[in-house]
Amino acid sequence: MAEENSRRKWNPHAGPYLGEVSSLAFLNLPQHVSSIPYLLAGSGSEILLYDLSSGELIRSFQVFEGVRVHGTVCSKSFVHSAERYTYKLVIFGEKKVKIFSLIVELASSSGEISVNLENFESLPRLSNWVFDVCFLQDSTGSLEEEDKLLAIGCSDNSLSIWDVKESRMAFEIQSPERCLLYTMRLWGDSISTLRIASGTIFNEIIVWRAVGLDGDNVDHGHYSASHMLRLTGHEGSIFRIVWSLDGSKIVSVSDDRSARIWEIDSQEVVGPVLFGHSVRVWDCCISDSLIVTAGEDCTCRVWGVDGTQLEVIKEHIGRGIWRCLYDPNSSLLVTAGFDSAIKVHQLHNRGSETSLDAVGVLNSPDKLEYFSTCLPNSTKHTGLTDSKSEYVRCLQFTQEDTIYVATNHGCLYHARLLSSGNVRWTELVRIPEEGPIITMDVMSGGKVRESCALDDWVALGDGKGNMTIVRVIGDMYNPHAGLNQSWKASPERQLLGAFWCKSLGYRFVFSCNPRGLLKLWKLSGSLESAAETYDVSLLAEFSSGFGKRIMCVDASVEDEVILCGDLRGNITLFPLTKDMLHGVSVSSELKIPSLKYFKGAHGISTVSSLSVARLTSNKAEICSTGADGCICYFEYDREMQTLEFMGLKQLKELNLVQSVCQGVQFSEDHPNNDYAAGFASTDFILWNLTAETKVTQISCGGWRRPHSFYLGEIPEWQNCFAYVKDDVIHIHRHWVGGQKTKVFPLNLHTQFHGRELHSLCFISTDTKAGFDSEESKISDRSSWIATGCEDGSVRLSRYASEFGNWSTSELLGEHVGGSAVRSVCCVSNMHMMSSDVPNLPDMCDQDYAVDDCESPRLLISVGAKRVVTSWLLRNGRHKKKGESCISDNGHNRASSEVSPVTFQWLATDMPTKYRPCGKIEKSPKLEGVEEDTSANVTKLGSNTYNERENYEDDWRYMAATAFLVKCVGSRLTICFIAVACSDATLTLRALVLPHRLWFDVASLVPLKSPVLSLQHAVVPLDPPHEGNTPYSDVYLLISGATDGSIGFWDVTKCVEAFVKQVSSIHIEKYIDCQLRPRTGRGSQGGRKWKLLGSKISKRAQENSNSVGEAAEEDPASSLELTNDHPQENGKNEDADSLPETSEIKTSHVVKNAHQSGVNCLHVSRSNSSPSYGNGLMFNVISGGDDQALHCLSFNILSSSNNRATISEIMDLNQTPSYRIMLTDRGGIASAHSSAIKGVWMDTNWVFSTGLDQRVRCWFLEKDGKLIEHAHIVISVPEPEALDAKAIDENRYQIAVAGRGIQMVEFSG
Amino acid sequence: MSGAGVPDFFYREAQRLGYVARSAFKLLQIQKQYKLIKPGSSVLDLGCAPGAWLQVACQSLGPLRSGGIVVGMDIKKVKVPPQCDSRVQTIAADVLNFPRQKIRELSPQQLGFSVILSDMCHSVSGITTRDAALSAELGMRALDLAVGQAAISQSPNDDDGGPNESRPGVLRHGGHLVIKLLESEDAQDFARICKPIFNKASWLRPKATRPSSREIYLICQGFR
Repeated sequence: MAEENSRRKWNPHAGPYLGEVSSLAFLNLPQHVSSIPYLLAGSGSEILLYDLSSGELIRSFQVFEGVRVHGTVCSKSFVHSAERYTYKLVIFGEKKVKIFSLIVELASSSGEISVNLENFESLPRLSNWVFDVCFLQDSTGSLEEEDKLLAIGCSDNSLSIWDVKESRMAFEIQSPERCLLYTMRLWGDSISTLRIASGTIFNEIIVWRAVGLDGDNVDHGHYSASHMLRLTGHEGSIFRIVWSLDGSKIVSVSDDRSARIWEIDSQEVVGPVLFGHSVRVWDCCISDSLIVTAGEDCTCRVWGVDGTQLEVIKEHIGRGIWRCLYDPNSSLLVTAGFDSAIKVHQLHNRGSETSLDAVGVLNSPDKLEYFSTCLPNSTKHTGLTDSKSEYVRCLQFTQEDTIYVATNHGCLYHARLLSSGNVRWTELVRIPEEGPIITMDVMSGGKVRESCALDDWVALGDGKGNMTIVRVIGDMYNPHAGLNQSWKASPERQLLGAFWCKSLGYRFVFSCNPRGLLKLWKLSGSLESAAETYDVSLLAEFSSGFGKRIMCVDASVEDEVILCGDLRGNITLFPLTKDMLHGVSVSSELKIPSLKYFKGAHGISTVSSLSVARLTSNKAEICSTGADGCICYFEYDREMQTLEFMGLKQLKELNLVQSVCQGVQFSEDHPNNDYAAGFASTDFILWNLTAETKVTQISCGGWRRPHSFYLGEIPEWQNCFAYVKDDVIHIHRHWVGGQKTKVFPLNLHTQFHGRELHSLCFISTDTKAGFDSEESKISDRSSWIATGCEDGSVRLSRYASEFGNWSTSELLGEHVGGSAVRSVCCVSNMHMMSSDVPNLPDMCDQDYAVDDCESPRLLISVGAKRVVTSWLLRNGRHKKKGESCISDNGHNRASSEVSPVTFQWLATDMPTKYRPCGKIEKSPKLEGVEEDTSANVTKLGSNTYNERENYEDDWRYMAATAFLVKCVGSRLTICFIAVACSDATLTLRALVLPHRLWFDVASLVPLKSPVLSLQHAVVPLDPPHEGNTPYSDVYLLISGATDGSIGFWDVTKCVEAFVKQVSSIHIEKYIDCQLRPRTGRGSQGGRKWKLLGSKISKRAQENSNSVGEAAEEDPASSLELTNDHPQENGKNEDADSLPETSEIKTSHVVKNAHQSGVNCLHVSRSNSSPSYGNGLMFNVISGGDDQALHCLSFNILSSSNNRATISEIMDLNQTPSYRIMLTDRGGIASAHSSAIKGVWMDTNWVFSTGLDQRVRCWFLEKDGKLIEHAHIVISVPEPEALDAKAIDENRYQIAVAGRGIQMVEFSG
Repeated sequence: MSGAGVPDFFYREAQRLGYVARSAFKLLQIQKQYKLIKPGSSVLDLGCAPGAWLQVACQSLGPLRSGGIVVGMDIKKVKVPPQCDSRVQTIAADVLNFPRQKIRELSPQQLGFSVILSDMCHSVSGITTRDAALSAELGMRALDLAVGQAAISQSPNDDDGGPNESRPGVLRHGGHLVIKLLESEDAQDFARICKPIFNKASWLRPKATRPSSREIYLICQGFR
């Protein structure tokens, strides 16, 4: 009784929803209050109010329960009293309409705005869906009065008139055309002028209006529908219709990828067809001069009224842009889509031309400048260009108004962009032999801007193999060459690259040849001396093992390493000792081999830039960009000399990523942004990595032309780009000085997954496992959630409890080929297992480069195409004193960025295609199974099996669960992952850490139907009283299948056997740390070299006994390696059985636990003790497609404790000394009113969610009975996954994922 | 990658067994679980294209001498599929605009049908909430056709007025009704409406349904 009283205090509260945005509306305050409108956005069941001036979220209101906001209409008139403005706001969704009073209150002293939303009235539930609402004036009222009528357009092509004054439905108008609609739009101010445009499922638009019958009196009048027009022309469903402001035009978007303009009032009704989207168009809006359409291809296109396309905006991801909205007064364009991002752009209207611009204020002068210039000597040739003409070979910015140009005649020019639009040329140096300049690199001296003095160092490489160093001194207006030093660096036509390194200074320069040879030169001499010459000496020659041309170089003196990226996507590290820098010249015959390399870091695409930043005293972070459109991060450990792949970011917008620079935190208002510059086919694109928006886009014809760019402190309005085309140097410069308050495009809402989510799990942060106290406090207040999506992306999202909102959402990585992520699970508990292997290898001396070796924390994600990916939790990147050097810019920035939780990509596994021997092996087993069935079923099974082989790409992993096992006395940690495939197979796999090797451990005996959900339980056995075995666990797998059965599997023996086998094998010979996920074009290459490298390593290993590196993923390959060492094979007979997979049968099957598929499972320890025996009791909760919840209990019974010690050991090794007792606790037949998609339980509470958009909280009684305690309606349509986390004793956080994600707080 | 158009188990099994579509297995499961169609039943299939449910319904009628009839209606023109005998006939008509009396005349001795199957579905647009609303609309029309106007007095109905207003539906008393819906909030209203009218109303999501699909079937047994 007292328990029930305390239990009544528990209540759930719905948190914020992070999902698709389904409604956009502007709130136009009077002009003197704010010239830029406010934005009302509907997301889920909430209304968000944004200040478009600052991009801040002012307020969010929950307006519906479970029903999504489909439209928001704000009245044009308002009531003004003192500093208050009251608007009428109508929000409709599905069949519900609500009218609110939106009260905007201006604080006169501080100028701040407080907004409140009061429920004016709720209309009764209509019988059809509401497509549009419109405020109407009463025909008898004056203009100053409020709107009295509300027109509601419904989905059966009818119109309902609601009297706002009298709060009743005045009348209803039925259209003569009774049909189903996809869209409807209303226009007009009164009933007599009201026009209705309906888009039907027959791909037509019907325009009709209401005609009065008995005079103008509303109370006694009757109206009927009058048909005006029938617009035919669309070939698909019409998704959106929009009226122009004066009602003379209609723009409709359709399933046939087109938008059409209809002139209602003219004789020629059919207008131009706007055709440019490649998929369905979702939304459109129109102004006097512009038409904006948004579609499923995530593009928003701006068109002229004549049908020409002016602009394409592509910044959303996923299933498309749901809504677009344009305000002609402020030229603001707002787009919102499935990825929950709300982006604000500004279209600068210049006559009929419209360009996407970043001008903050309308009245400010346009700073987008365009220069067009030629070489000064090119005026001599008025005819066509021949082979003797001078043309530009190299181009590089050093300032926003300074470009260095090198030509094929061996001339180096200094070009200065004057403010009058002209270019001032200065010839600095001409190479004496007139060799063509092949390569150029410029390094700016320090403090140039402050003193206005010029101190640039230019390295030139010409076609005759001569290297020239030019020091440019003077001031901005009179540059001249202060130093000119040339020497023979390479044979003729062999000098292809000249590189400076910012960290090394201008005393050291690199040169490279086409075969991957890198030379380090030293310029010795006194800087203060007035001598014109320096002594050049060759310090070292570095020879890359790949034999490809070096494309970029970076060096770090502290880490004593030189990084090179070559033409084929490989990254090579060379040693750079301090003795080398200070010592004398070495013999030219000695070539220094590579220290470490990463093969195929960017596939077979070029590595375009490299940068190194120091993380800790021993570790450095390497960031590389390449022509495969990816940014890769590596970690280099100086002591261990290991190069590890850390993470990857693929920019889908850019085909080639040129460089990445990290923005400086300008002020507290501006976020710390990262920028990427690259090319997309023929365009140069500057991309904001943090906000995922495009900053600038210039059509320049591709990356092969000589080009250069320069970014200022805020690249949104400080960027330059120059390229050469047809002997003309085109320079686009956008440079705004000073501080601006507005940055466009804005990102108002957090960008989330663009498609449906399939799974989520909380990241369990253990405060005892190495976090310091500050991070412990941070992790207490915020929760990190990993989500897996349909498009293969895995995201980390952070929910800040004190703000009650989602703060960040960052992309963790993607599955191979964009295959859908079906299940994610977080593994953090380590289970110890004793090992009886006598000849334990001595591995304690080695220190592996896995953070937190004591307890690694993994995230496992599985999905389509049978991809398994594991991620390793890291404490975060503390980039203290880190420096990022962007070679093109020459910028040197210090960035301090602390990310509390992030994951490092660890390993990805995909099955290879079936081998013929595999088929032979499988056939006898299948025949054995078929012996027990009748002849017809045998024939059926055979045909099914034969057809299955041809469609192996159809199979995907449906569920996964994982646990960690560590061997006592060994450094090995094994993560066992049980995966359920859609071809009804269940496999136990193992990832051996830190070697990142995948093994198939066991194949669980196949069930009759696929497994939809998996859980595991690790039950510690009661230790015997006199036993010597401290660690003994029972490992259980629990599966729920599509035929409604729940199976229990005991995998203890094979887990123990595998751990022993792995411990006894010299696993370090199979080390392969050079893995990275494949990300599509250009990243598939480089893998074939592994085979060659593996063979070479094997030969070297056999010859010189050195430990070579073998890139082995398959157990079959490891079998080959084992066969190559017969002596070792003789010593370890167990090695032969390593690639084989054993079979495990179910220990228990609960048949017909559900009528149809078991969608979700969860296991938890139970409070109650079992009725007999001793030990722990566990509960299993399952939810199914049949809307039922089912509860089971099980415990492990040990055998008697009366045996002697010797017999106990014998029994433990030979036969299992435990039994699994299973108790059915029953269930609730209709827990939800639709299919249950997620369950979670602990000792007291059970949470479940289903397709009815509700989260139900059940109390678990002592005897396992479930009592529904509370439920709440959530905003997530189609929930797919649920996870919960106990914050403390009285509080839970429940996360539900589906189309979007929402957090529910359950507290007592 | 799963999705529409990718052949999977049920698609290939339908090809092997001679059914014209994978949806045959849905009706097979419904028939196995609820045994709606008995020998000699009269079956009306709304939205019968491409004819897989006609095949299963004809099989369930039993041998030819037991009698029974299967009428398929769809807005498209549907030929009688293979493996069907002379008891199956198809009509190309819009179910929403077809007069109810003419449908009743198609039944044996104009007594109505003992089983009505509604597999009607519009062309999906991908906007799941709109598609669910439209499927609820089609389901409501099917329910109205089956049980008539007077039986659905609990919820407003938009049926055309006229001489058919007071007429009963074409479903016999004691008959069964199967309605296909896309799962949403509106689908729950159907269960609320059908529970007082039928002896038993339950939901079924067949195994042959694709995992990405949101379809669910409302099985109503025993028209009172």
